[in-house]
Amino acid sequence: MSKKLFGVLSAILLFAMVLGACTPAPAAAPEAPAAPAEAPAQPAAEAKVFTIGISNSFISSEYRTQMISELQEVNKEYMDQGITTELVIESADTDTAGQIQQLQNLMSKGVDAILVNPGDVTGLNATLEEAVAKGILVISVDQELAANGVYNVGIDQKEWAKTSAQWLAEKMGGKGSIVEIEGFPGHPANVVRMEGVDEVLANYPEMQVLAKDTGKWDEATGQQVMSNFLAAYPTLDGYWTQDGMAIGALQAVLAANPAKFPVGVGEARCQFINLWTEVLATHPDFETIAVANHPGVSPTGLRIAVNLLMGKKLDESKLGGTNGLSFVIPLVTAVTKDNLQDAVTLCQDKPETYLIDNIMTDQEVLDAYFVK
Amino acid sequence: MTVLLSAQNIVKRYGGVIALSDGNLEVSSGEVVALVGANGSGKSTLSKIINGVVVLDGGQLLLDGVPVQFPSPQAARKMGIATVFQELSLIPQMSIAENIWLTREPLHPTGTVDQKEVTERTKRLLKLFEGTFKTELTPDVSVSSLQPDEKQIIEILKAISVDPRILILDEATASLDSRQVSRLFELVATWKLSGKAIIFVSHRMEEIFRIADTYSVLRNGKTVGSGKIKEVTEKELVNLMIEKASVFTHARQNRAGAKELAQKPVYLTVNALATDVLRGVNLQVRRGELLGLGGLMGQGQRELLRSIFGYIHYHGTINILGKDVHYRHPADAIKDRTAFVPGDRGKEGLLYIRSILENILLPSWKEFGVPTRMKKAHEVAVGVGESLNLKMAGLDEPVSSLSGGNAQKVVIGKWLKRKPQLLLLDDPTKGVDVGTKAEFYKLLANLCDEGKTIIFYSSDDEELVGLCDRILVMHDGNIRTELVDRMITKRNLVAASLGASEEEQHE
Amino acid sequence: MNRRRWNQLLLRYPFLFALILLSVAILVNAILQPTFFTRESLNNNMRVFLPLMILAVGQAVVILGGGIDISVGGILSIVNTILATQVGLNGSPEKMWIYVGLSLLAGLAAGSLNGFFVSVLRLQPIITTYATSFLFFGIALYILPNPGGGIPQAISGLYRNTTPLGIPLAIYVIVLILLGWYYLRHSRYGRYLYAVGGKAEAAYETGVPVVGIQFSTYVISGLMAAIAGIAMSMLTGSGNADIGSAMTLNSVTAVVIGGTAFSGGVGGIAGPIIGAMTLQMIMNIISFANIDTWWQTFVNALIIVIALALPGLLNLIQGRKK
Repeated sequence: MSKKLFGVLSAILLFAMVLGACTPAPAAAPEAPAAPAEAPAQPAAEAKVFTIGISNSFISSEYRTQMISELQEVNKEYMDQGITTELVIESADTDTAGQIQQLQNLMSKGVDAILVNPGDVTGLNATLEEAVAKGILVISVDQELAANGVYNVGIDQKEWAKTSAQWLAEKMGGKGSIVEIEGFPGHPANVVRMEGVDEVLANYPEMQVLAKDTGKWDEATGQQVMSNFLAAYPTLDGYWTQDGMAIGALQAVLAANPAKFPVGVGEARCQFINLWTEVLATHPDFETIAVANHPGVSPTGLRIAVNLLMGKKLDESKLGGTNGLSFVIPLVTAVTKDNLQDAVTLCQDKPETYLIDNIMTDQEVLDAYFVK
Repeated sequence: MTVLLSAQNIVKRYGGVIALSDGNLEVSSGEVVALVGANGSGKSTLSKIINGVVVLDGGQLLLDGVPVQFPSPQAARKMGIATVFQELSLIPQMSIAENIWLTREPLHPTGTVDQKEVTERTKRLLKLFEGTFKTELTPDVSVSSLQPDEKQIIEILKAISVDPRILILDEATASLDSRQVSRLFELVATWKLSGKAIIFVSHRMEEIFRIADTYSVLRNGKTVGSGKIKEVTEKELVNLMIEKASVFTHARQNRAGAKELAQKPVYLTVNALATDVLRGVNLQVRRGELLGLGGLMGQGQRELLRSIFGYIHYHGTINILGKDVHYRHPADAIKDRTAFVPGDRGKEGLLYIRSILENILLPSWKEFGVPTRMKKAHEVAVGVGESLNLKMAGLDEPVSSLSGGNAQKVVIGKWLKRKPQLLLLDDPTKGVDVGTKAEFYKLLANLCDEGKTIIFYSSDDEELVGLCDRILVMHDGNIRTELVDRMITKRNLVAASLGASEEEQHE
Repeated sequence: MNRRRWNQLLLRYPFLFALILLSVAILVNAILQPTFFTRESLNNNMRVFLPLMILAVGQAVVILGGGIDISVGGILSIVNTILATQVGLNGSPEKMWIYVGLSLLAGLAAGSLNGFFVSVLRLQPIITTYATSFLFFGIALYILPNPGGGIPQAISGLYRNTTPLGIPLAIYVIVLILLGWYYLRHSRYGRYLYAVGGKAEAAYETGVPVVGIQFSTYVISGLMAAIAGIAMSMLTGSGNADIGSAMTLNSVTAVVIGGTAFSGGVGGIAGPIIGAMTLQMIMNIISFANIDTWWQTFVNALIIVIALALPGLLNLIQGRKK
């Protein structure tokens, strides 16, 4: 009885699917809403309106929230000019299979370009290559992928790490003892960052790395690790860390309250900036640098996508990376004592979680990466 | 008639306890043998040895005169021995047909079960009991939806579906109604004709005399008599089941007779108390009385105690000292100074991994305020421990470090602290060593002398006979017999438990 | 149909809830994505759904037998890393079938290990398989410490883009599994499985080989995890030792949604397959809708709680009527 019922139901289901499979696909043209009549920047020659899809596999982070809202902001500019439609956003906490599904959904929606912030360094390659084969422009933001035909847009992670490491070494006068708190060992971004740090320190033989541990890119773990370091090495001269772990590390320093505060690397997030100014009130000698892996690379990537879609010609010589398709976005100016006041002012009307950011303008993008 | 199965001088020990010291049984083809005995006489053990559920420690089993060994129930089944289990061996989620033919499903050549055949065969089996079910049963009905009697019948059908040479019916009639019992006996008669041997384990005297050809009586793990049922009377059978000399040496002195009791004020009155198990129980207990609850196991004694304690939902009225009460929760009963000492200490009576101190004071922490005055608590606990003669390494040791008897003292101790007026004891001496038992009996006597009222259920008949002012014998959720004064004898208790028709006034 | 009959129907066909949920999910998906029923979309969806569906089948068999297998994700990861390193990376694509066979053997071995611990040594299933899951993830990490490896497109395409007669390959796989299950269910093994899951003591007294049956459920689960791992590897075309970690709980969730009782002995594998599909469809909808994280978590939790509570609630309602 149970089998019979199930049989009937599943037969219906299967039949519906097969039937669906056999009907020809409706012309997959995106239902292009009539473009706004006035398209001031663009002459009438470019009538095509582009649809851009976003795939994001992790949303429980401020970085991603900021990224999504900036993408929407930038896209609004293009929408107003009649160049793009509303973004198709696929964003959810999901695993590799889930993100493949997101990408497939975007493909079946007939988007012209996909911006993906990948949750898996290799697992999406097959799907992305499929999208490329269909003539979809694919750009991976914030994480370099080695997939054929997929553009990468991001900062130079090694350069980024070198900036803060260089500053640290100089601030310490090229000598003293430091500890390092890294992200996930083995994660590609962490690997190149640590390579950068090692390269810088190689130039300063009198700087001694006492210990290195992972803070798992997590504020609480970072704080825990830093507390342990401070207990083991009370006379520490400096520390190098990255991203959200920096706030944890500074909090650990405050809690331990050593005789001499070590020189440390911070994150250009308003929460950190505010904490920094508080520390300065009691320890005016405290030195730190705030750097950010800024979410603005994604909206910059969107600008690149739009320009590519519009047929602008790339200056291939400006690209690099493993597959020769990587756009390197300039870093955001680091915050030091010299420009701290600017950052404080900026943070006044921003949420604590805001990352100091920079989105390249359309003109900047054109100047930097396209043939004039 | 040739002897089909013969069990000779069977010995079985569970740890240090000897369940069977000399068990004997013979059964021939086409014959029904009744295996009888009082509580704990070893008849369950003997039937379990014959069907392979437990392995014997001594003696031997002969099948067709050849020594055999049954390491598992399957081995016994292969030799043609099937059992109707008392604890049902049915799988609730599966259908009647699936249960009956489990492991013996007829198969198609492809290896799948021949459902049509299974259904046919099951229908044929169900026909055997046709007309005795409250609702008509079909093979595809799930066992979980069946009533207890229906489950029992399916269990019988499952056993007979093997077409066994020897069928063991272990209390198989306990949950059947009279019509179903009659049908079963008709079937037994036909099975006899077809040459099957049947071992009938039962407490119901009337049934034994109706169906059995021979009998075998066990007492304290020994076979003390056997023969043809026609040559024995009910009275003789009961006498065989009872120890001649009482071994109980802790009999309580100054017990109250009926006249004395009548002068005491009534403490508790129970009227028409009914639950799933109980069928309208009426009883009265007087202040300072030690009332025993007897009878075979599982006749509603525990439910009665639990209902009074507000542990299970019931209908009917309970009246304490002239005031109607209806406890919905044990906490209400505790407030009215009623205490309950459960039989399953590990499950209900104690927090095993917590300290003795915590266990003793568990119902009375309130007295020690917030924050707890630990020193005073400690003193009180020491007092309780001393009054009970508790043998322990220290109050902070976990209860799990105590022996069974001492653990039971802790259960009682935690209630004594609350100075209860009514104590409900649910088989409290089970698994308790002899020395502790003696102390426990003394404690009971003292409590009664202090005017506390006690209702005492025990599976040990000796205890009841030796201690109680009055005994109520329960059967099938009701009180069958009341024993007072000189009627309180082991013989009368056993006879009443078994439902034997006559009672004697004197020992 | 009055309410009582409706309740009884749900009690008898536990996967009805999942089927209703799936129908709603398909409907919403079709509205959100007009191309949902095209051959391509169907294949795209099914090839992503398949690994979890297969995993859920294995999980369902274990749960039917009264156990649970928390290590399926680990087994999947092992297979994924084997294929990524041996067929992809510097491996030898021409020997692909050998490594597919090896992967299946790895799954069987891992399942046997679980089975040995749980059925022979009688260890707690949930703790044991939780422990072995660490072992399995460890092995996967040993084989492939950093994510990578590329299975050649010619090979992954076999899985990704094969649609005989216009029907996605995944549907063939599911039909095959269902046929296999239909046979098992109606063989003596099926009866044994339900008996052991229903009441192991009673099954033992009746002469069912309880230990062997329990053992076999873990072996089946290991094999299914290996097949799911092969599908997953072909889908992603790469290796990641961590790829299975998110899938274990989803497989359990799929079984729960599919109406297979945790207590064992009730349900089947059709429900869990539907459950796995439903789960991913819902994920799809959430992804489409671009809604807040907490909503996503909330919706998932709600579905699980309803699926778990439904039989109890129905019993309660019926009990009151009696």
